[in-house]
Amino acid sequence: MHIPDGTISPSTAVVGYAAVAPFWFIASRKASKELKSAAIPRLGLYAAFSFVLMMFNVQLPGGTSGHAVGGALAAIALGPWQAVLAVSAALAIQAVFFADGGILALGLNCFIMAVALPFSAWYAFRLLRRGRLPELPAAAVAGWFGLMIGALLVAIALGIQPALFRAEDGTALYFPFGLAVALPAMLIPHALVAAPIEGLVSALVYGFLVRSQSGLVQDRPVEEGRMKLWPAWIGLLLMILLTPVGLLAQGTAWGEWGSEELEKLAGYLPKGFAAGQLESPTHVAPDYVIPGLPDMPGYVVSAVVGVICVLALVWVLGIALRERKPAPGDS
Amino acid sequence: MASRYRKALDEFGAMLGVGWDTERSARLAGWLQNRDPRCKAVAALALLITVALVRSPATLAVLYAFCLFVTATSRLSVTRLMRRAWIAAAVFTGLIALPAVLNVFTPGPTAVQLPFGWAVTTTGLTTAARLLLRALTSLHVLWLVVYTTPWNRVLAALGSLGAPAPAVVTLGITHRYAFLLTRMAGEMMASRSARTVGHIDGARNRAQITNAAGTLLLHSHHSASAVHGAMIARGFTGRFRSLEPFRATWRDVVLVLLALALSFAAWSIDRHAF
Repeated sequence: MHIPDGTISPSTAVVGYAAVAPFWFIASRKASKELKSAAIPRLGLYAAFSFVLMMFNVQLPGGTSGHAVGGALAAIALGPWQAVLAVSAALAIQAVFFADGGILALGLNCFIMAVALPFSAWYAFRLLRRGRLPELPAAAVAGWFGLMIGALLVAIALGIQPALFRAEDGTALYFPFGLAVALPAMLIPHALVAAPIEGLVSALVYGFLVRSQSGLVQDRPVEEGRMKLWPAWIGLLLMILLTPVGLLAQGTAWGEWGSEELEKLAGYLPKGFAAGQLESPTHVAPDYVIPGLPDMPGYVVSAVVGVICVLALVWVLGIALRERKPAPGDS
Repeated sequence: MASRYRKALDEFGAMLGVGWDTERSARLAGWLQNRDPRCKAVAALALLITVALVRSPATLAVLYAFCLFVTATSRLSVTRLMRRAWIAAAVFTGLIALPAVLNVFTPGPTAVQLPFGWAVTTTGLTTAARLLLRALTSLHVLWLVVYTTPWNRVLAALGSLGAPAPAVVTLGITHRYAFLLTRMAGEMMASRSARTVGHIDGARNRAQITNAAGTLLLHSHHSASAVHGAMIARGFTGRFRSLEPFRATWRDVVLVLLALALSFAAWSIDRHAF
């Protein structure tokens, strides 16, 4: 998951540093405000721990093994802001001494593994705990989800390279595969191996910390108080604004071919597939294109409409499934 | 001893070996070891940006050859550093570069015909060579700094170049305790393997890894306050200082000018000739 130097353009590297810089700044401010100078050795030691954790090979049921990033565990146990600094320092040491990730790519690697991964895992954990899911399954799902968000961002960062940076002879200057290859190549193995390991390690070590009664996780009650939702809204808005990135992808996503494309690829068109291809009059925006709008705003409008529909559905479901308070006298 | 523990012990041992190796190389009396760390950092940054910008594999090969020449003048083992860089580049970049040579991913004139309609294309070879040479040269540039500068001098140089003090100190502590925790983890694995006979199933492996990782996290948590107390007790002011003050000589200026000139020449030749 560590992006090496040479696979992304210098301008992408600059974007990576620009994206992570505000998080480094806020995390440093928060750390020094909350913990005074004690924050420094604490963060240094947690970073050292994250570094060592990445060297533990864990066996999955089925025989596969791999290592965790530790970003989800750091976020759940320490809080996301401390995880930002701890995982960033671990990534810096890895890049400098062990060639695990590049120096120019360090900003982007930190944004993905030290910001996006811990924050998404942290919010997933809090949401699941508010939904009354027990701690260990919540930590496991949060670890899985956080790593998948990280893998998705790596795939996007790498997959847009050939569309943006090409030599005069048409060859890719940096990462050579487009989104159509990068997305499945990153997401499928991560969903099956790396993310389950991250989830497993997060849940098991979290369970160990709870059992050891160290006070490291007990002083962060997740069910109490109102959860701040503005970071989630900002994240959602950013994702909506980023949807036109999909336009850079060449070809069709794997498994989403139309009849003509499938016939070209396979040499024939399966009968069942042809029978299932119906043009529905209910398709308001086929391929996310809004009639009368250019592609890019059409994508954004489609995303906004989709998000509103999903939120409305969740809201309705929430009302339907809401736990009724027992009336006085109910047994 | 179970092979799983042996593998983990090998990894921990290799990691400790790298830390020891870099500190030992940094104290040799080579040309680059005697240069000012700040000048080395600036020169390395210029070269890293150039390596990312140039397009032709030929230009990248020249830059790589220059790095090997500097390695030789700094009493570093060229073959050992090359081997490390090649292994790292093969693992991290080779996996990306290898499929790119095929016509399925990079169409172009056929260089080698393969069965089932597959072929290696010349454009694919150019793409793969570019990726690999870029990764190799970037690694070599970075390691020229790391292998010729003690880590505390690197941190002091970062501080004097304007990096925020908390970040510099955190990196220093991370480096020190990463090696300490690695040694602890290695000792845990060694003691566990000494008590293990026969096959270990996945569930037991996961339980042991969990206990080891959890114990290390608790140790980090408890050590942090002890380390902080020690820092306060010795009058720590938040600045990372080096015992040897920085003094840039004309040789250091030559290093920076050489790196800048080489970077500019490589970039302009690459733009106009290829």
